[in-house]
Amino acid sequence: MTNPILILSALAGFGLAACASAPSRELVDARSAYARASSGPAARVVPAELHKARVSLDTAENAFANDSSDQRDLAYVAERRAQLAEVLAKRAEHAGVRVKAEATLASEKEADHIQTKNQLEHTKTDLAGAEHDAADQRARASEADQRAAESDRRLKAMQLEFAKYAEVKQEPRGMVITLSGSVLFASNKAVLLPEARTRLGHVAAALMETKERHLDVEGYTDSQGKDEYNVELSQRRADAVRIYLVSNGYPPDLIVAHGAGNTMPVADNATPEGRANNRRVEIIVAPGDGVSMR
Amino acid sequence: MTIKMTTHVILGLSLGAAVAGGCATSRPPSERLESSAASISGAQQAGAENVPRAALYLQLANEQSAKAKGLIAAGGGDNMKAASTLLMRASADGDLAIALADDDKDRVAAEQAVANIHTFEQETK
Repeated sequence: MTNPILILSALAGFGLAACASAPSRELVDARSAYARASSGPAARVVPAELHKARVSLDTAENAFANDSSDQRDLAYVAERRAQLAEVLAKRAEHAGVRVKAEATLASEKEADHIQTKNQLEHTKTDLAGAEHDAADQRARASEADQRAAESDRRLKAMQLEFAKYAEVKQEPRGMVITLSGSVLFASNKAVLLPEARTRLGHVAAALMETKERHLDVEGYTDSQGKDEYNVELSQRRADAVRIYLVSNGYPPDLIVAHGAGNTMPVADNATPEGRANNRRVEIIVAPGDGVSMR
Repeated sequence: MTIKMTTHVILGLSLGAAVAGGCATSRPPSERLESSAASISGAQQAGAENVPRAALYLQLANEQSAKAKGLIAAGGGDNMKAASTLLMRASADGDLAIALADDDKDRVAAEQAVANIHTFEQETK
């Protein structure tokens, strides 16, 4: 790129040099400084400052052409004006770099802020979900505790009710309600006596309070007679009790009847009292929601 | 009356021009004194003394300003003219020193702004 003004200046300089003295070092430096400034970013970035430098150089050139006494001083100032234009152009470039960098940083910070905000939202959502789940679990646990407490309360009430009509024990296999065989059945019979029906009626009413529980009805005899007979008799007696309970509304699929014969005696079979105690029917109410433990 | 007034005006103007012309050569160049002082002060405030390139031009400005003040103190038309020229040079040097000092600050600020991006990117990597 050739600057026509520079060419004209150079030609003018040569023309004047031909008819006058050589230009001063200051003027040479000023021309050089202006040439450098005008070919750099100053022309685009600080054109007004470059124009001032041009005017200053023209003044110096005129002074040289007229052989003015202050030609060296004016050239000195012209060089400084050109240098000033260059420096101001650099300042503008630096400012541009700074502004661009600050904008980039602001943009990156904004993007980071948005990302952090989104992550926070996700974390909040996850936390809310976890809290909701925990609340559900607590509610379920509370309900389970309430159900268990209610079940215990009902069981204790039932236990008190049974105690009026039968012997009640709490064993690992569950609550054991023992009804004396002599009260329930006539000798060698498996038909419930009228008194037995009354007692069983009360027991059945109490059992209906907890009819979700599994029941084992077990019949026992004393040691007199043959074992096979005793097993068969005890089975029929257990069945009779089971049928009575089912007829009173207890779910049949939750009751199992079992004849155990003369096994598992609870008293001495050598005495009449002991044998009377061994002739019995036991109703085992399973603990909790499970089946009875035999 | 019109001729008399016109004569007075021409006389007055001529006398004023003569007085003004006589004073112009021996009067201190107060405008350039103020201008160069402002440039030098501005360069000092911009911290030119701490920026090597700017410090050079500030020094030149100070030297020429001091020399000019010496010539003004000596008095005389030639000294005043020489002082005026020196002050013109001092102003140009002072202005350049200001720009160079400011440019140094702009350069540092630009570099810092770019460094801030790298620092932020490292911190958030």
